[in-house]
Amino acid sequence: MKTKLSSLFISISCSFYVLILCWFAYAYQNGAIDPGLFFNSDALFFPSLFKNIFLEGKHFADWVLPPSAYLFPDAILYAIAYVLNKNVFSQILIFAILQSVLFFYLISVLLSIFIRRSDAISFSALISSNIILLGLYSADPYGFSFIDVFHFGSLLSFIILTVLLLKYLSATSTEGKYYVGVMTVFVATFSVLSDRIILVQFVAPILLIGIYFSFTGTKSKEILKFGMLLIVGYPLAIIIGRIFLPEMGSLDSGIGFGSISNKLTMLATWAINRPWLIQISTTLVPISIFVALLYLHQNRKDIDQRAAQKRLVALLIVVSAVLMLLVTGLSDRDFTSRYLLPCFFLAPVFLFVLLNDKKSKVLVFVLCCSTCLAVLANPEKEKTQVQFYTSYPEFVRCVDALAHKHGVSRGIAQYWDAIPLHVFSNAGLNVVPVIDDGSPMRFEYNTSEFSGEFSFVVIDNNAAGIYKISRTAIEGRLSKKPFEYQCYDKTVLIFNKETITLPRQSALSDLRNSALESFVKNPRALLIMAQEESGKNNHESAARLLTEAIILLMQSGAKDETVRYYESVKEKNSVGKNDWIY
Amino acid sequence: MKEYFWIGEFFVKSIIVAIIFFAVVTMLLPNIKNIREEWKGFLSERENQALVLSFIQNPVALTISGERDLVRKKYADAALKFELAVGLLEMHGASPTTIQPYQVRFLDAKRMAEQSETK
Repeated sequence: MKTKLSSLFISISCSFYVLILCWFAYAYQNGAIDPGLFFNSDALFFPSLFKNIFLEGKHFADWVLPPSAYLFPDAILYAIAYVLNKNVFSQILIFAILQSVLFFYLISVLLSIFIRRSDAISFSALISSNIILLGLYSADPYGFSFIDVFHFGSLLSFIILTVLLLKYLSATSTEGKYYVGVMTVFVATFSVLSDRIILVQFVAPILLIGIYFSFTGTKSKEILKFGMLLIVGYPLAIIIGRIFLPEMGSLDSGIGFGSISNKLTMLATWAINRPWLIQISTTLVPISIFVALLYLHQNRKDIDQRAAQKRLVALLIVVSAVLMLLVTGLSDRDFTSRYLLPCFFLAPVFLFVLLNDKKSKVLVFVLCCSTCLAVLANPEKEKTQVQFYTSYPEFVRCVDALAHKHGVSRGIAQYWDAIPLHVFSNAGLNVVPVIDDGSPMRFEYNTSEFSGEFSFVVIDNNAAGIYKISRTAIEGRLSKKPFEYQCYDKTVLIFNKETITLPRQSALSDLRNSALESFVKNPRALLIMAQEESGKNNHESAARLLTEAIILLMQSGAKDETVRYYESVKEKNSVGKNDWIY
Repeated sequence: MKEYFWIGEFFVKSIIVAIIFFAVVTMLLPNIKNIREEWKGFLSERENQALVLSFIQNPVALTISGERDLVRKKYADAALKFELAVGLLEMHGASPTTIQPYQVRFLDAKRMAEQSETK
C-alpha cells in the first residue's frame, strides 16, 4: 500500500513539475515574464559571446570576461541550448529549462542519500516546481534560476560538491574514495574557475568544519582530507585560467571594510520590499538555520553514520550562511540577494534532510500550499501579451530601421543598450559599449570591436552616471550636425557622412594612469605625452596630463607666465584644436 | 643487490621533481626575449621616452646625454632631452637667462631632426 502511494506521489509530483515547466515556457513565449530579467546585458553575456564567436567569427582571446567566467555549468548548458536551436529567444528558454532540470536532478540525488529515492524525486519535483512558480511571481531572487551569470551555476556546483562530499565520506573502498576524490578535484577546479563565490559558499566552510572535526574525532579527519582536495582545485583553476582564459573584468570594489550592520539593514529592507509570497518563502531561510542549530544541539553525541552526515549538512548550512553574510557584510559592494542563493534555494532541501518523516510531511504540505498560492497569484494577469518568440525588443527594432535607412552598421551605446542591440539586431548591427565620455567600456565584450570607425550613437535619456553618454562630447568630435531620432526613451544620433573612432584607453583606467603619471616630475614630459594623446584624438587623456603638468608647475614654484602658457595649451585642447601640437 | 634498489627509486623521483620544478619555473618566469622586444617597442614611442626620461631630475645630465645623441646623429632623441631639460628649469622657476642656452640647443636639435627627416 505504501509503495503504491509512493509511486502515485512520484507520478503526480513529476507530472506537476513537467506541467509547470510547460507553463513557464508558455509564459516566456507570451512575454508574461519580466523581459528585463532575461534581456538585460548581464544575462545576455552568453548569447553575445556565442554570437560573436560562432556567427561573427571573432576570437575568444579578445574578450574581456566578467569577473567570474561562469563556465561551469552555465557555458556548458548554454552550448547545449545553442546547438539545439538557432533562435536566440529559444536558446534562452532552453537554457532556463536545462538549468531547472539539472537543479531538479541534483536535488533528487542529494536527497536520495538521506531518504527513499522515490520520496527524494517527489520532493525534488515539488521544490523545483515551487521555485519556478516563485520565479514567475518575482524575479528576485527565484527568477535567477532561469538565467545565466547570476551565480545560479555556483549553486549547482555547491550541490554537486555536497553530494561528492557525502559520497566521499561514505565510500568504503580505497578505489571508490579515489574516484570520488578525482571527481572532486575536477569539479572544484572548474567551479572556482567559473565563479570564486564557491570559495566562500563551500570551500571555506568545509575547511573550517574539517579543522574543527579533526580535533574532535579520528574518523572526521576525512572531512579535512576532502577540504584539501577542494584546495587543490584552487591553484589548478588559477593556472588553467591564466593559460586558457582571456582578460577578466575586475570588480569596482572588493572585500573591504563595509559595515555588517548596514548590510543587515539592507538585507532586512530588501526582504520587507519583496512581494508577500516571496516574504513567506524566505522565512524558510531562518527556519532552516534554526533547525540546523537545533539538530546539532540534539544530536551532538549520536555516533550513527547517518546522523554524522546530517550533522555535517547542518554545520555546512550554518557556517556557509554565516561566512556569506560576513563576507557580503564586509564587502564594499551593495547587498544583492544573488550572493545568498544557496540559503534561499536550498532551505527546503536542508529541512527535508534534517527533519524526521512526520515533520517532512508538514513541510510537503507547506510547499504544496506555497505552490498553490503561487499558481493563484497568477503573474500573467497584469502583464501585456507580447510575442517574444517571433518578435524582439521594440527599441532594437527602431534602431535597426534607422540604421538600415542610413546604411550604417557600427555604432556606440551605453552598456545596457549595446549588448541587447548586438544580440537581437536583425540588421547585423555592431554596437559597442562605451561610458559617459565615449571611451570604451572594457567589460563583457570583445575588445577587438572597439577599433575602427563608428557611424551612430544611441543615448539613453534615462541613464545616469557612467551610463549617460555625453552628447556634447560626441558632437565635439563631429564637424557636421548629426541626424537626430527618438526611439522610445533613447536618442539616436546618426552621423552625417562622417565617423568617429574610440580612444584606446577607457576613462575607467584614468585613476590608474594618474597614479603612474604622478611619478612624472617634468612638465615638458607631461606636455609631450599630452601632445601624443591629443594627436590620437584622445582629448580627455590630454586634458588630464596637462592638468597634472600645471599642478606640478604650481607646486614647484614655476613662473606665472610658464603656468599661463600651459593653461592656454589646455584651453586649446579642450576645444579640440590641435594647432598647439608641434 | 636489493639494498641498492632505492637508488633507482630515488633517481626516478628526482627526475619527476626536476621536471615539475622546471615546468613550474617555465610557467612562472616571463619570456625575457619578449620583454626585451616589448621594451624596445615601448621606447620607440616619443611619449614613453618622455615618461622614462622624466625620472632624470638634473637638466645638466639630460643636456650631456642630448649632446651625445647629437654626436650619434640621433637628433630627435637629443631634442627630446633638451626639451625635458628646459621643462625642469621651467618647473623650478629658473630665470630666462638660465633657460636661454638650453632652449637654443633644443631648437637647434629640433631643426636638425626635421632636416634629417626631410632628407
